[in-house]
Amino acid sequence: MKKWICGVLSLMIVLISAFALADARMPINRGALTDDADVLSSELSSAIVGYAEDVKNETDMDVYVAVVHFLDGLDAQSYANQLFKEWELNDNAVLLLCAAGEDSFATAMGKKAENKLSKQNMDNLMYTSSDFAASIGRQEYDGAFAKYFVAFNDLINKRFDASLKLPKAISKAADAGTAEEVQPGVTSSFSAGSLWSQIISGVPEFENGSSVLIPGMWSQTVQDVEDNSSYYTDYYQDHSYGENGIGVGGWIILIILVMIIFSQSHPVRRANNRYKKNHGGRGWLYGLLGVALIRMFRRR
Amino acid sequence: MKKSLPISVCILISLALVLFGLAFGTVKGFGDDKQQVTQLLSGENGLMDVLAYRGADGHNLCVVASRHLTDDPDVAALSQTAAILTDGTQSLASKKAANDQLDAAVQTVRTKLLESPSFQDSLRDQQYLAMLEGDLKNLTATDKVSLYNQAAEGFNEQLFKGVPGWIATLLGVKPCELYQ
Repeated sequence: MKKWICGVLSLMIVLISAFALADARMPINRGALTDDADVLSSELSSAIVGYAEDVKNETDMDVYVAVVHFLDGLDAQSYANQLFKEWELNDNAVLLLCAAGEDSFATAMGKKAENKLSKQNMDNLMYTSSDFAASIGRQEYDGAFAKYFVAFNDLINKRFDASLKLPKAISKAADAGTAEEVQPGVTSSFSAGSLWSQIISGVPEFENGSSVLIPGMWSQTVQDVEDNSSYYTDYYQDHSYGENGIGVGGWIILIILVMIIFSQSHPVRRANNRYKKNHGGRGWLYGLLGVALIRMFRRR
Repeated sequence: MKKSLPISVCILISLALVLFGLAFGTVKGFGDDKQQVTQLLSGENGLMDVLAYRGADGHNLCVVASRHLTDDPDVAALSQTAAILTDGTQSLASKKAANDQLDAAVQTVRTKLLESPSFQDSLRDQQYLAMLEGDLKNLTATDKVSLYNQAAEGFNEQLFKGVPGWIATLLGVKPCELYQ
């Protein structure tokens, strides 16, 4: 009985949280790397995409990296789990999520990937095996991801008995991050994505006070909201209120049905019988004559 | 020999058919119209989503603010307002009240942030503030509220006038809730 109650309560909690999580904005899946925050340099971005391909070829594992600015009120793990579902990633997939504006991150993965790599190992990659967490805290994104992938590569080689090599750009960025001593809160000399460069260098505001720095995901959301409005406007250009009730087609069907019903009534039956008695068999004759006439006219 | 029906039964069946047709057509027609209006409210990227996105921006601003203002009551108030907007179980009326408060709450936190020395030193958070304010403005500019209210009022007007509207109301079609 207690198990049953616990089950129902768990289901309710899951359903309630699903409702609560329903409205977080999620980036579109752009493949192995989705850097919506635009914080990674182009060299490292290409290297991550290339490395993900190597991992896929060698181990059949799918590696995904997503970087957003904010988590829309969710915690990093919930957002990562939801993004994993939203992108419909498979059992062999590993997703590393980072929220640049919140200095937070999480990993989500499929069942097969979890069995092979273990959740504990993946958490260690972020916090202990690499300098990822500390580097994210210092907003050194290239260095953070490069160090993460150095540790990830070791783990993959160990678990799959493989000999995968990291792209040079990743090793270089990881070495640069280790060699450099950066003061907390101060951005290092790592190269970064264009939006991030704008963020740290500052951009002027427009007269209306709005900033040019709107991430692609948010702009897309606003566009989608406008599309939803246009869809409604288009619907009412072709349709106006008050068209409710039975349409022309409906009335025709109704009339045919009423005629069929009345054809089964006493008076109509009686009239039919009387007609058949007086003009018995002539109906067929007239019918055949009509068909013959139509064929004749068509030939002419 | 086939059995024939009395004329009164035929009339009754026909009347029932016509009434069923009228009821079905009316309910279906009003149902389709209501679905369009509902799509504007709770469909994907409808008004409820716009309010939730605004709430999400409120939450995001709280994250930025908490780096500079610790245990601040105004940040807590903004967080509460944002939570109502992102909560799918809240009523439209409570969401409207929260949305009305949101801009003022954002302004209060903004003013406090601008006075904070650590915020003045952080170019990143200054840009994040501008980014979030920009998104809040963009979401407001979609003018979803007036479009939804206009659509809901149009639907309700039709529902409360004429025979089809009367039939639809009788058959359980309910008016749309206005965002007010």
